[in-house]
Amino acid sequence: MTNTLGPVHAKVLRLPQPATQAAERSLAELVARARAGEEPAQSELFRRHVERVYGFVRRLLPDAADHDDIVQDVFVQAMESLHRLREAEAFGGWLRGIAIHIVKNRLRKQRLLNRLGFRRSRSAPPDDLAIAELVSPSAPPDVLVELRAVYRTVAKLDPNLRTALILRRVEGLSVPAVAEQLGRSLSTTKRWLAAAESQLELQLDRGGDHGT
Amino acid sequence: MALEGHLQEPELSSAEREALWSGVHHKRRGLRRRRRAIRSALFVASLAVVGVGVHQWQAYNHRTELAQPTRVKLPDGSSVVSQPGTDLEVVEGTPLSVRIDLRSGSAYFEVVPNPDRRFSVMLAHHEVKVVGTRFVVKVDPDGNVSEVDVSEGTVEVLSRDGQALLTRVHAGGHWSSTTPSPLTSTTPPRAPTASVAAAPEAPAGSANTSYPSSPSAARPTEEAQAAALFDQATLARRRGDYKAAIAGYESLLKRFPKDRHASLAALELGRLKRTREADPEGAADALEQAAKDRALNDDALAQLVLSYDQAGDQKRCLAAQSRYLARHPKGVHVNEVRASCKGSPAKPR
Repeated sequence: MTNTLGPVHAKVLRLPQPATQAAERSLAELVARARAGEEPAQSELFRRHVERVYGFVRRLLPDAADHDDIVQDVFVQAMESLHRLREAEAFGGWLRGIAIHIVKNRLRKQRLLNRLGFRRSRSAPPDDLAIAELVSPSAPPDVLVELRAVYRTVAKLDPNLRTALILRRVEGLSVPAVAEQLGRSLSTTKRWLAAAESQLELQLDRGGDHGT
Repeated sequence: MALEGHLQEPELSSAEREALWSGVHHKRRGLRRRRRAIRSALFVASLAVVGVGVHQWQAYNHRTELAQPTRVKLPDGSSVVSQPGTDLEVVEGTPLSVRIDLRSGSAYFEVVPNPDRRFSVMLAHHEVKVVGTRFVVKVDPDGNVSEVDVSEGTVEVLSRDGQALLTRVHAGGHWSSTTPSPLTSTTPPRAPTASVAAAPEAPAGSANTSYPSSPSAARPTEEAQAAALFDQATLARRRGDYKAAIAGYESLLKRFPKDRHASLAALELGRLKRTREADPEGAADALEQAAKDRALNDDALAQLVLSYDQAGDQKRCLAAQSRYLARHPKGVHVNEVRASCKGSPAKPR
């Protein structure tokens, strides 16, 4: 995978210019204005959150070639369903929830196509370069080794287990926070994590970054 | 392995951001065009059945002035049993949204689950939103005091404009517009006395029925109260009102120490006390309690190490560190825990 952010379209809207007024507004006010259809508020919300969403999507699917497309879908869905957001302060977590939903749908679709024989590619773990791009260059080597083990493990897991393990191991969320983010009960989340963690143990016992 | 400190977010140039935003904009326009096309098609299709449809919904646009309780089946399969003298009206009835204005009197609702359709009972100052459940709503004659009793499922009570979620009422729970919110009251909320008319016999037919008997007339169960308290505290935490969140979690632990939400509340309380109140001692008490729950042990012990580290209590920090490493040698927080207890008081992380 590459970390390029896609070609810059020739025809570009000038919406995300830092609108000084919008830039000074609180999150709650921005959400209220964006919900009312104000475009400067919508673009400011986008500007404030796009990098975090981009990073999150990249960690959920390091090997995808179309991160731009997924990130756009996240914001399309968010802007179209802003009226459903109850707590403006939860906007960031809510965006992550949307990203998870979109990524899981993609993974399910891929699996279905694989099963039906429409796609030949099998899900393979992302290459080392793609993984190295997820962490800062100063990250110690053992972090990279474990990260590789996580992604080798998740390549074999179903979308639910995969997402749960990434939220827990890569994003560092607590078990209750994973449950909250996935919108599942604590017991279901625990079950998924236990299954995923046992696969990860096997992978780590095998030497982490060897074999799939 | 905790990666939080090592993760690297991409740095997008302004041109890249603009390109992405431009894509969002174009996709939304395409989406709206498609929606318009679908709506037009649906409108044409609906003309064929509109006579029946409008008739079905309008059949319920009336105020009950009968002497007997009346049960009416709505076109989506849900049903409403209204008591004599009840003033209610179906103000909106579409496959996507059902809105019923309840101005006075009381009615029992059995709502067919449908996640794509919003089902709301509108009161003078509130909206009661449901997905699929059974509940009673009662409004006093002048429309000022409203009460909700839930016998199955969960309903949400919102401000009338639908913008602010006030509370969730779970099965067995009761809400009254005169009941203070658990987090704004100065004293811990007590179970409000149920004031809904005692539920008589179950309905015997499709009309001339009264409320089915349900636990709605009873006091809310302890579990429902604890769950409501937990939800309120979590909502407060999410909107950044940490004082209210801490008060809510503390109240839950004090009143319902054996409830299934208690260990979760203890973990959140410990974390908030450590990071938001710089109270590592208080945090440690809560975290010790959370650590008793196996599922939360990993997170709670790691937080405990950080608490003692933050307090500069090296002895207890090292003890907690050994506990963590012995129990979770491959735990999520192993790097962070190993890096702790170096002696000087650490800043909250």
